[in-house]
Amino acid sequence: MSGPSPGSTKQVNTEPPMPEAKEQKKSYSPTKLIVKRFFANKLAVAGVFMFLLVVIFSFSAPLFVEHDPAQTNPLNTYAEPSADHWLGTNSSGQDNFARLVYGGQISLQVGVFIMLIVSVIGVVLGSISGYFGGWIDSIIMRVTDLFLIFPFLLLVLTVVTILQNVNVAILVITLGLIVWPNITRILRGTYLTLREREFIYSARAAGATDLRIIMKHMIPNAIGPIIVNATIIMAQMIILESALSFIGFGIPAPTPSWGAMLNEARSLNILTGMPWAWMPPGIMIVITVLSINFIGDGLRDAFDPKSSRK
Amino acid sequence: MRIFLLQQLFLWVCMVVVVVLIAFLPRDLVFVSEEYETYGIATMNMQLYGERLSEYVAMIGAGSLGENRYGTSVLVDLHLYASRSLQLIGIASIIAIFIGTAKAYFDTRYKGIFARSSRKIGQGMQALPDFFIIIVVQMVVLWLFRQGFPQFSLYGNEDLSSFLFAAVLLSLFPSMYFANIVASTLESEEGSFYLIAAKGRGVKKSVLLIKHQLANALPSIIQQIPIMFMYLLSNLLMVEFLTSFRGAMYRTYQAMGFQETSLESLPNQFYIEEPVIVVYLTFFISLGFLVNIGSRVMTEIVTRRRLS
Repeated sequence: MSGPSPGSTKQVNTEPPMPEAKEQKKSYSPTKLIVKRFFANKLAVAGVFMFLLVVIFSFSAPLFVEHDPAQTNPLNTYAEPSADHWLGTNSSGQDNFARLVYGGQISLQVGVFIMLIVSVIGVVLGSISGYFGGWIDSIIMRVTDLFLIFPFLLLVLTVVTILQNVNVAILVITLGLIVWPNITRILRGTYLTLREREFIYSARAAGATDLRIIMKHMIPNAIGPIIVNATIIMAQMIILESALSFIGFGIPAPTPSWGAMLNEARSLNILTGMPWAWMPPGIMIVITVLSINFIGDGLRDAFDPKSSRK
Repeated sequence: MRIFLLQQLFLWVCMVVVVVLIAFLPRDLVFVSEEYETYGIATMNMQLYGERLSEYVAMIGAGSLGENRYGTSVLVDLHLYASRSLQLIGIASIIAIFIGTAKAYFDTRYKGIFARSSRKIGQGMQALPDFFIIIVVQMVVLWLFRQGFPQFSLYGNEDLSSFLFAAVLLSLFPSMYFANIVASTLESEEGSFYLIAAKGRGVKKSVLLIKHQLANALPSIIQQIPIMFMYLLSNLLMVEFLTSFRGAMYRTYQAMGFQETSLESLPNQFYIEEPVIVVYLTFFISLGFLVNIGSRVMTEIVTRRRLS
């Protein structure tokens, strides 16, 4: 990180952690200190481990999954678990295990790409709004107000309905364009504090341009809130994608999705008599979201040890 | 307060305009048939967009908000479905506030393993998908029925039991959120001089919590009610969808092209009822604004009473 002590925000204090007595002797850099604090957090490490397992499980699918997740078989619907179909088959005769593994790829891709889109939009608009202030700040903040007041799921549903024929790319772009206000607000708050700090005045006095100040001083000092909020958004988006697929507004069949797999549980027979058909995707969503939340909590505590909950 | 109300009114108008602009986006549908399926491809048509918007504005000018697909007035439609959802929201809000406050009291009052577990469960639940929790609860209840537990109706909106079941499901997540907020606010009061003085006098912890900490934290807690309400609205769709509760959210979902059964002769997804979508979304937005304004008014009243 460059620049002297940064400011604090509502969610995460961006101030570099004050080294403790022992750590001062070893004189860790702020980045090393953050990494050290992160890996000292058992839940965060467990989160990384769980998340890596989910990623490996989902993306190494071709190595151990024999069935095509989209292949239907009307003669073999609702099959029970067997050596051929480890988790049985669904109402279309598709292999549940293959859909579980490939569905993970979709959820993770959606989560990561939306996180990237939202972070970029949030950083750009948050930087402009927080650094420049004035009328441009007012306009950006009123637009964020509009997005934040609207019941989120309804807004997404309306847009998805209007677009029709949604695929992964359209869903990612749509959600990315709707979810940015939260991170923008948080970054604006961070920038409002940062821009009044001495090192920013010094940079201005030294003749640094606005772009340079933002890129070299503001963003590096706001990296904590950016990363922590990015992880929160990723977890939220995985839940949202599965919720949309669950109610039939997400990625259309035959593309596998955890949410669409859970939709089978709407049938009472499957809900009560075939837990293998809907439990695994639910558990995978829970594991993935919890692991990302653990990582997010660990990062928050690593960037701002004062924020840790007791 | 006047400026706040004007701001809210301005935002409300902007939101409604945005809803109309989104709902009437031009969708010039072209149907394509491939092997076993027929699907529509929507293309943008700005001329059509202008025509649809001007038709809608003219209709509003003539004193009508439009009709649903069955030719009934949208307002009659709204009255039928929204009244059910309002009752559900009302009961769920009361349950959420009551359980949330009780859980926060328990979490703050006690420090043992049960209180710690209760707090962890509350925080963890917020990270889970609401629909998955609802499915699991339904499965557990159905399992209980099979074990001889007295049976009651879980689905629909006509029986009192199904109505209460939906209300309890709807209150699950908001009550956890509310409990976390109340517990954090109560904890933030700890260490205050008035509490140290009261403890010194030997006042019981339960009295301290309810009579002093909770009373002093009330303005901060009331300010969080609009956020809790947003949780409630988001969960409402899943609850109505999973319990077949025919409420306003379910109706909105239906108006957006939800196809309930594949036995229908024509896919529902091409029957998007724009006037219904606009009116129902406006209804939900208005609810959000009313709760926002109510929360602000309540905060002012409580704060003034405390100061006086």
